[in-house]
Amino acid sequence: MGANDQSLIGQSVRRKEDVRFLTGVGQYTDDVVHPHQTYAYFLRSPHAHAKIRNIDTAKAKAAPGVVGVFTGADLDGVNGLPCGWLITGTDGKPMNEPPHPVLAQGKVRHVGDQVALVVADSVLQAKDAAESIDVDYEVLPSVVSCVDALKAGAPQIHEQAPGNKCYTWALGDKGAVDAAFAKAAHVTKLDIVNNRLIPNAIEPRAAVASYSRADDSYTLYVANQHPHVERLLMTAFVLGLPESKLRVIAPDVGGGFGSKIFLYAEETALVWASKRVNRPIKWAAERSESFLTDAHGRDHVTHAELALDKDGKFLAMRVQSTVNMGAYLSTFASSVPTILYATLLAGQYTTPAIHAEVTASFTNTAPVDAYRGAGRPEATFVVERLVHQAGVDMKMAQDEIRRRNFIRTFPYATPVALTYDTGNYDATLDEAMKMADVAGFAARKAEAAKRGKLRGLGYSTYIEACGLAPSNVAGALGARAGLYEAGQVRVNPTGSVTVFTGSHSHGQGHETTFAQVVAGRLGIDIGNVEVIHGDTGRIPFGMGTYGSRSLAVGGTAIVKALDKVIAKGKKIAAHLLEAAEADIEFADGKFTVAGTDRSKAFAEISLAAYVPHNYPLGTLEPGLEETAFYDPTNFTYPAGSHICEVEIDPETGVVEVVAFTACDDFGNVINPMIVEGQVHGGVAQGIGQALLERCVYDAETGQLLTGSYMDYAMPRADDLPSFKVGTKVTPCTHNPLGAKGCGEAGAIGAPAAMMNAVHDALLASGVTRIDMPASPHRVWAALQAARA
Amino acid sequence: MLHDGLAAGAATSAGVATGALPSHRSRSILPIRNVQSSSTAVTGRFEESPLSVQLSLSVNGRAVTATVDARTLLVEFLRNELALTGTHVGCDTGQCGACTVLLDGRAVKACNMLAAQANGAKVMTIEGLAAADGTLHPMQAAFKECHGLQCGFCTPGMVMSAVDLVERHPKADEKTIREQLEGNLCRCTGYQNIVHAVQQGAAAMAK
Repeated sequence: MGANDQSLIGQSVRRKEDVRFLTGVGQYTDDVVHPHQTYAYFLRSPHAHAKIRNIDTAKAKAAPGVVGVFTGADLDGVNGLPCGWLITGTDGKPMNEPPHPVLAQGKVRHVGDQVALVVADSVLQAKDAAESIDVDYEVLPSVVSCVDALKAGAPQIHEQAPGNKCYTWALGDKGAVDAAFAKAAHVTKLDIVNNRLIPNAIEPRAAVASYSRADDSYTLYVANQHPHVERLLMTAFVLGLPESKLRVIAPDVGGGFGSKIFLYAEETALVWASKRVNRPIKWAAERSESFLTDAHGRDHVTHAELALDKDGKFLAMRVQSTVNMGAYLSTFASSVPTILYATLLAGQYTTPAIHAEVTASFTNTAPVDAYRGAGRPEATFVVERLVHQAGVDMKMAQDEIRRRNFIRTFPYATPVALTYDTGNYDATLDEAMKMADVAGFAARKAEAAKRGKLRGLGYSTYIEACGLAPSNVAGALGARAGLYEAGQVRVNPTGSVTVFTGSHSHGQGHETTFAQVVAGRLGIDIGNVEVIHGDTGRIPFGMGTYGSRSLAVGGTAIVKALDKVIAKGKKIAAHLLEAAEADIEFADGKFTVAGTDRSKAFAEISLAAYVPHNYPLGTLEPGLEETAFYDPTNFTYPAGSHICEVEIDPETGVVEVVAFTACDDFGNVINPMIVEGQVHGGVAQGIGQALLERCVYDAETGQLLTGSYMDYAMPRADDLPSFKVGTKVTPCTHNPLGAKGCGEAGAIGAPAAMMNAVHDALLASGVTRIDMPASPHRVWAALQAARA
Repeated sequence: MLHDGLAAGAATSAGVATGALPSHRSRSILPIRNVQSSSTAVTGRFEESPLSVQLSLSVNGRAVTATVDARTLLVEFLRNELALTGTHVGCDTGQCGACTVLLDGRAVKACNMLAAQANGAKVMTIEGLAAADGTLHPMQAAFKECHGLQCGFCTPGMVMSAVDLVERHPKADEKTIREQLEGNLCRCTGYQNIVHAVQQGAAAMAK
């Protein structure tokens, strides 16, 4: 890419970060080596629910190589892990928020709960020593289902949460909904299970903590999606340290999908213990620990109803969900099935009245929190399964019933608290139908039938809300954090640019996309732009990467900082060119006196700023470095149409995804290649949920039955087809990039599209309900039951 | 369902009967027997005196000799002893393929064999794939060109598997590529661009 290349925007620039990953010199947390480092191993509960009568660590402390053994009793002055979102229930009371100890305090509440930390010279020594710790457990009855946990007589998990209830919360006008249902021509009802998932970033969680006696400070390398929030929560809420005493570095991170947003016990214990042993401590989760202790996703049980008039217009929607929080409230757990779920139940439709009630329970399972999409896939699944079933019930074509209800006037205020700024849902549906060759489906279905196969087509016209904001509104809804982003642009003396962003890239390609934005705006070579992220020691502040927010919020913060850089550059140029500041124009990397050929290149201005010999020192500071914090005025609203085509073998129940089409509106696109890649990955996770993945705990013992890649079905290359991906653009109206976000769309839209296709394929066979995942066993059994 | 080049890893980790093992596995076991039988230092109980073995092998074209704890896995040896941290550990049960390296030219999962089993072998890791002047191997270049990676964690294993795949199936179609990559998990890309990259890399390797 040459200099002065404004056309960088919208180009599939190949990624700047790729060479280090492709040559094996990326630096992930487990690659970090400190002199004299030790290794941690966590002794974990083998029981789902038990009292700890006694822990005897004497043998472990004397074992070879051991430098420290710590239990909950040692963590004097260490608080529990906080939850970042306060939900107020329908009773007007705050949610029940039981303690979330860093190491077990007298009780364990899920298999894998951390009981003791062993630090030794080697991992093997730490493991060997942990084996010699004698824990006297009194095993208690356990409960793993979010519904069972609320039943009378269920085992009581926390004293502070009677009946295992975290909260019952509601949104919407129940009276209006009841009135609309009373006069409906038709009501469609569904019972839905949104299956529990395990995120499974391929890099397991890892941390390396070290302590410096020189200045009584700590450094933590951690596989994490938002290091500043990690630092804030760990220091201010748990360890009682000033933020300035902890530097958090999230270096190359091997995927997150939500699971690395949260403050976990392990890295917190490591930081605390690093001072006690006075040596660096490294911990890397084994995959089995990831299965047991990474925050899981989804796990809703829902009853939903849609009221329609005789023409298929939606009159009202009623949703009741019971949701699983797991054993403890993870960092953002409480907000996911409420603020990020019920607010999305309008979908792309004009449904005038919606009421949702959500009850969250504690169970003897790993904590559940945000996983790619976080609440929005669950909402989309409810809405789009209802719409599909309503179309079937009313014998209306699936595109037609959607079109009769599309929102077409913007801005649009939904009955569930959001205001959509812009969109064009007909455009994405039209394009998706063309791309998917819907017109040819009947012929393909007939051809498949000749081969004895059942073909089905499913739609999902989804909406999501990304870039959660503004902070004051979120605060009123219970958020305990801000939702802005910070960006800093440092122009170096010779005109190269270093960008510090509070967003964090763990696969999203920010080093390239953000560099495109900066190089495009400044008219400089993209090779002269370096993007730095993931280090509280270098970056002013940040709220990190989640909720498809990085470009819309983090990118905009960078743009705001660039605007300041250009404004200052104009002042410098005006001085050098002996012109009025108002007459200076900036374009193509040059500051020019309007209407003349007198100009100064960007690098001349930066050099003047740092070598201020001919410079307006009386009115302007030297240097060229600007910071901006950007707090959006609204969410962004990416939307799109996904169409899935499946073929089912009725003899085996095997569902094959034969085609998947996604036409999305992400607003303006900076790098189409990266956006397509995000859609591919999201769709793969969405199909994974619908076709393959399911976290299962044994109902009796609370043991995790899907605790390895042999038991938990991750999508592999031969489970998936190639996807057809396209975009339509309505620019976001309230950020200067016009960007909406693309990271989660695939995971949000795909499960409903696929399950609608499965139900379409099975309709003629009389099968009415298949829960996710549509495994061969489930499909085959449903077909047998329908025949009987 | 097992990828033939990676069968050793998947089969042994899972304890699943999977048919014939690739030849390199039995070949690489022989030197360890030699080491054990010739060692006179191995005495006492395991806990008191961990068995150590001497290794002599080639890693990325460099001769390496070392004495390691017999329990050391090949991936641990590469990462901890040789500082070749491009080979990643994603699951430690031979399922994810992030640790895939080439052993005498064939893809193996380095978390699933002992370092001792690589005695006498030629090991190639992701760090050894590019030319000495830094020019990327055609498969590396294809992954970059096709956006076949996102977070990069599975990438080294994926690339090493792809190189082996193309050696065995120079003209593989999409279906074959997808089947052959079944032993390598990627959570980011949905595999589509990886498949493109393997096709493009195969074409470039054929030149």
